Amino acid sequence: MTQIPGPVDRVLDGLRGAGYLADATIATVVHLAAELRKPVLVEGPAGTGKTQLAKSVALAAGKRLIRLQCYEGLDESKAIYEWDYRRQLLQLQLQQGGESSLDAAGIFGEEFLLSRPLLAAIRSDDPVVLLIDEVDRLDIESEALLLEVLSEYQVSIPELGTVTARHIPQVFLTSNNSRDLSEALKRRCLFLHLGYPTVEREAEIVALHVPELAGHLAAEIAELVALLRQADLKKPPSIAETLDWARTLLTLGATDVTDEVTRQTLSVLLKYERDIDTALAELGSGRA
Amino acid sequence: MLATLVDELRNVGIGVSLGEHLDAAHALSRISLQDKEVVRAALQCALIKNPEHASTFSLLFELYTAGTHQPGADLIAAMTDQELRDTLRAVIGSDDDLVRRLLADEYVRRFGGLEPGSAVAGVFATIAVNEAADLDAIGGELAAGGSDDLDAVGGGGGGGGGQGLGGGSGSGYRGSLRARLDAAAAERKIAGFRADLQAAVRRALVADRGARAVRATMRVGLAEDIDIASASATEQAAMATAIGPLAQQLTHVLAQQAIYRKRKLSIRGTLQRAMGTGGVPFRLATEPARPPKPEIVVLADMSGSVSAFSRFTLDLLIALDSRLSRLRVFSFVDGLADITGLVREARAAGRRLGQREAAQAAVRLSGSSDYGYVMREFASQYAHQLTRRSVVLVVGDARTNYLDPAESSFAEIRQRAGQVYWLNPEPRRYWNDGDSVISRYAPWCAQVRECRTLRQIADFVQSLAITQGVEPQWRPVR
Repeated sequence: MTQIPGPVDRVLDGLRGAGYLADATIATVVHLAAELRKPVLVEGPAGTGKTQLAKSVALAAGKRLIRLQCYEGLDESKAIYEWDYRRQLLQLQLQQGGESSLDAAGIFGEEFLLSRPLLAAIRSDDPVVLLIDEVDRLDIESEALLLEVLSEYQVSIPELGTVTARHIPQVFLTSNNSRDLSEALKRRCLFLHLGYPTVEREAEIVALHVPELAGHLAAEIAELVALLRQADLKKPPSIAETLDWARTLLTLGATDVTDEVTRQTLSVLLKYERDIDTALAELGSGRA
Repeated sequence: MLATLVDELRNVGIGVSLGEHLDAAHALSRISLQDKEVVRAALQCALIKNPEHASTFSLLFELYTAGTHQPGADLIAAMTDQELRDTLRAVIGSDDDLVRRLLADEYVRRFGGLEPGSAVAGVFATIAVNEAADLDAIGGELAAGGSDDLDAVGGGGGGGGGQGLGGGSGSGYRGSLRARLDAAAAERKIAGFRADLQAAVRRALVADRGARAVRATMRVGLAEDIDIASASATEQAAMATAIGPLAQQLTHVLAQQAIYRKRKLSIRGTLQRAMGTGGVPFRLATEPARPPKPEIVVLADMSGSVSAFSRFTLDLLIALDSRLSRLRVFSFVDGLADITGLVREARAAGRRLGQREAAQAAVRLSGSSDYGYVMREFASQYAHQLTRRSVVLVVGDARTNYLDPAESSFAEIRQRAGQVYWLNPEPRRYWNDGDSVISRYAPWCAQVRECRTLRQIADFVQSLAITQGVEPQWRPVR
């Protein structure tokens, strides 16, 4: 690897300490996100370590990770905050007839507020990493929920006022690119595309996570997985699956990637019967 | 330099907002400018928000940062041709980007035939350099003696294992899988150096003529602006990756147009609203509506005149199929065929559907399109299955070969369906020229669109969203 100067280098080392092998691009973006206080939008195919990146950044910096999993139909009450109406009702009944005005009833205080992930990240007393996972699953309309938090790091609650962040959280958004995100969202973020790693980097990742494995085997595993990803598969193997496979080979005590071993263990890498057939054909070792 | 780069990006059609420009400037101030990779990453993450634009950005960035003289170049310049080849053989698969780059520059200097000031195109230089470097032969050598290179890739710690492996391959056993892996590794390294050579040619050109001049002669474009009918193989691949998001968007917009069912009353929402009025429920709240899945019926022309576009249509349909509960696909030429099953099968298998395959059943007699017959056939056979929730999408050039267009049947289809759209892959200036009768179908379509590029299709989808005045599905409870 070439000589990378100062701050970016520190990010690289920190992430490596957390078990994440970044390359110069990833480290630069993570470094800039912290410097410029901007969210990072991480996009790429499934299984390239998008979510893991956020987790590792949190681990490396010793910060708490707050996670918001997005899905179709996610709304304000699940993403930002919700009034605890049961407690409010009880409160009203307790003082039945006692108070003359609504304001005096005091049912819109902080103690009736339920924090959901976004508000929790803003209100947190210690610095946190906020992970907004699979943001592309949100409806286009619900995307707007995120904008205020992402650009101003604040949440406006009509009954209570504006809550501003005590510590600017480091925000990661991930997307599988199943649809185009809105321009408004993209403009507010730094953009990082995570593809599958190069063969060299994947070999290093395998070596880092399965250190007991002989060096040449890690390289061969990475090479074979890269070959499979080029084939026309329904679901190309993810990095996690590569690691699973490496561990499998280790358990079996394999010293070499042979036809025999590969055929027996390919189901660790590929999860569709048709993919396995395609892969065997691609590797030039059709089924007996 | 940043301002020029941003200008160029905008010229190509990549929108860069003022805020993003500022972000890029801030980013540059927070990093060390020594490492080109870091600079590239910093600029890219601030300026480029769409992965399809990344390669265009890299190209422009390369152009505008080329031309720095590298130390060590003199040493390589002193080598003989044979020494040069040996060095290349040694470093081709290594991590040593710097030496590889220097070598590439040297090959271009020696064999590229680029005279200062001459108007030789870069293509010729690239071909000449590739021949001189004799990459195929080197690739063969690498594949034959590949195992030791694999060790080099594996990095430190593999020394002991490497020896054991060397013994193994020396004893004569080389599994077919190993051979395949070695070949793949060699191929990858060769492809890597080819890219290095290409970049070196570009650098040489920039050094000679300046970035702007080179940029002007190069075809720098975006995937979404490529004319689908005349796209090259690589361009088609680029478009194929862009299809997924497009299909998703199309589904989403079409879903908005279907009619919502009655919403359920939400007890929770109503109670929450009631808090504002002291627990008295003045306003009812309803559950958010689940977006209904529309039923889409596609009629796709598979005749020769629009075949390139049809192929693309098929890809789009396959992408759409995974997101719709009900998609019916008909292909037609001078006959009509229901190919819904074929599309579904192709999607399940994760493969592309061949144009020939799709057209086969749709040819009745001559194999040249007969819109009139198709419309009559569809109206009589299938129109009764259409409902108000169906959206009909016709893809074709409306060239009837001077046969009767049968608009009345088309009108009938329109009456039964919720909405009809027509996408025409022909340039607008050819419409209604010769045997094209698009204007006779147009009155019954909600929209007739020229659709030659991905951008135009995206625009079409966008316009649907706007003209139909898509309301937010539901407003948050306040």
